[in-house]
Amino acid sequence: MLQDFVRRSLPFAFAAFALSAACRKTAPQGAGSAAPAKSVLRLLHIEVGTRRATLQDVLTTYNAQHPGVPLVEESIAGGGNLLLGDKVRTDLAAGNPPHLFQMWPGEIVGPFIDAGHLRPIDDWFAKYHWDDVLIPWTLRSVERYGKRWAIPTASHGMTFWYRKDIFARLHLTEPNTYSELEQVCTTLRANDIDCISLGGKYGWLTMRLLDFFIEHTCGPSVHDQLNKLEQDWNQPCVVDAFGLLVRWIDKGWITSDFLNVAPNDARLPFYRGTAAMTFEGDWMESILTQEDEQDINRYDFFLPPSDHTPRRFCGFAEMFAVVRNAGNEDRVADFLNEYLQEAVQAKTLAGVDWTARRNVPLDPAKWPRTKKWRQFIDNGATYPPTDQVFPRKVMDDWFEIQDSVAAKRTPPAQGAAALGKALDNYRTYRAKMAPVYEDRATFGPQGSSKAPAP
Amino acid sequence: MNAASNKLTPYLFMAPALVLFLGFLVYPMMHSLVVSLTDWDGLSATWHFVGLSNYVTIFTDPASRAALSNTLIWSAVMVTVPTILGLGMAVTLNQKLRGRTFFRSVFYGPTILPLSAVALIWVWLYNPHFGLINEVLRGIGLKSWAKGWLSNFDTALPAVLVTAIWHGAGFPMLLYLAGLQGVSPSQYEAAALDGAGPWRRFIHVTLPGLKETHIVVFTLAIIGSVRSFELIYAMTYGGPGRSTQVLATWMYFNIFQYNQAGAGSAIAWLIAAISLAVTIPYIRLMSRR
Repeated sequence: MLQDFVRRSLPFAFAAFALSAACRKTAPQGAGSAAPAKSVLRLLHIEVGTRRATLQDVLTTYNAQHPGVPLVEESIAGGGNLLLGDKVRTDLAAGNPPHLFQMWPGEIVGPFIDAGHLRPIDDWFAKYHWDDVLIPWTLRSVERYGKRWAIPTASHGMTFWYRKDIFARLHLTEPNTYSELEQVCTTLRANDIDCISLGGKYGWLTMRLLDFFIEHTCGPSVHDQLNKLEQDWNQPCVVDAFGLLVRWIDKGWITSDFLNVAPNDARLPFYRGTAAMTFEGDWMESILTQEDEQDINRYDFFLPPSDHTPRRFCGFAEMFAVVRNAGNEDRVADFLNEYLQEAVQAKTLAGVDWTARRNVPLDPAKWPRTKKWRQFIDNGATYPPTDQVFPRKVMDDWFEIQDSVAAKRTPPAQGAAALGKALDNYRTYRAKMAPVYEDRATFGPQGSSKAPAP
Repeated sequence: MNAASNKLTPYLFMAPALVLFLGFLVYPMMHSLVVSLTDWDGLSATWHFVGLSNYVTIFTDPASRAALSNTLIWSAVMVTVPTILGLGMAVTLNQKLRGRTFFRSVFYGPTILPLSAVALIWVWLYNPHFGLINEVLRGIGLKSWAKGWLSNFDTALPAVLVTAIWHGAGFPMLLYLAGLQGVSPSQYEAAALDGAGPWRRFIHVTLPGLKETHIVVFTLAIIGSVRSFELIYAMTYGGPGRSTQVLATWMYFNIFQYNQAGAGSAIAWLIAAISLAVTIPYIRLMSRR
């Protein structure tokens, strides 16, 4: 019976196989060719609740004031930033991409540019003079291959947030040097309080602390060179940074067994007062006050005491990336220009913590910490989080090494060596593929007729 | 109607289902087989054939090998432990016990819960700081036993397996309970008259009587375990490090996170091959009956 079934099925299977093979080199690439104008313009993002309502309000106002093809927003409920890329990728493969999508810079948006799916929008920047109003470091984060592929929509900084009440009770002050930071942690530990609460699941919260250690041990210049792969990662200052991670764990300054605690769950020891600090972004004020119903007067932040000048903090932009050939380009450009106007940005800053525009007005009585943050973000010096510098696969190698060092399965020196090897491999791969990627980015998914061989 | 149209009629009736089957199952499968032989990144419009290198990589890349190894461990545990537990519960709850229906519902209950909800429950139970498991251990004086069950490289996979067993034992119990209804009480009576005790009745009457159920349970357990994804994804995301990656999550990471659709498709076909290797003998066996 089975043989009979197989015998009868084989012709169909081979027919399908042949059809599939015939389709090779013509993978589903809906955005690769000019698409007809659609009845709506889609903006894909991850915001939910009141944050989403703010975006809906912005779009509703725009649609009312600028009649034409309506803009609609679509949110990815639940999965958020973990699934946004998956959703965009699936939409692209299905030939139904959004016109705009929220995304993060560097190697997170990079694959979409490298595959030729995004439209360079330098002409829009020139037409609307967006450079004049946007924060310079956010502009760098939307560049690749000398072109700009998105508008920066948000600018974030991350640092140590702390419990003011605990600091006051223990007569602690905001540390200005790394040594003072260690003294703070020592005092907290002596009082049976964890210095910092971390959630190591997904790797990136631990990475933020390690990034700070690298900034401290290597200094801004070397840190930047490491990120550009202009220096070998297997070097003493990286070993020292790993050493500090182990030291913080050994001293009991980090919450115990943090490696698979979800980042959001890591806030609980901070709220309960069993940990005095956490490493979060400027968005923390809205989380504290709106989502987690905390008293903002108990919380504040200080910039990471790296012992270097400038005293840089980890900063990154978010963006609206523009899909190539998705249609209605003039309308999309007009919306983006309207979106970047000060009145709209004031609304998004208060409602979603989003702006990449300089000096956007904000009520300091309602948003005291965000107002304080904006001064640093508008004018400060930043370094990028490493998970935006390297591709996800490389970062998972990084996280594996980082976790292994944190779990003391790998000594710091061996960890730096493993990191050096992983990034050497990536450097070689990148050098081989860069011309191919740049060709696709320039000419679209099919590349030019003279596409270089990988 | 002539003879030709008579012959054609069954195929016409089959055609709608066949078109759906070919379009939504066979074609995507064959397409992914082709992709598995390429370096396609899942985004670009072009790709290159790379032969079997994606398949070779599964066995040479340390991370892929670890995922394969974890899948084999996962499968071995999930085929044996829930099966034995399910059989034990079924045999026990097949007796005329007081509260039998209640206990059947209780033991089957976890099976009907969505895996994402199960993962959420157990992540909180395992939470190193506030989780019930560590709180209980501390409460009964076993403070040194309290640990980050999911944060520890050595305990993360076993901890997720415990969750999977808790969730999965009810289903074999249900199948065995159904199978036990087919075992004639007269066989037990005859065995008892011949002096067989409970254990010998279990070995010589119950187990042979459940022969077909064993095949179903075993086959479904293998297929379910090699494609296990949700619990790992939700509870550990493959971590710490990559210590809990299994083939199904590794496939997802390759396709969606690493832009390696070719490599991910090869892993998908390895999963399919393992499933088919178990399922085809099962179909053959059942077809002979």
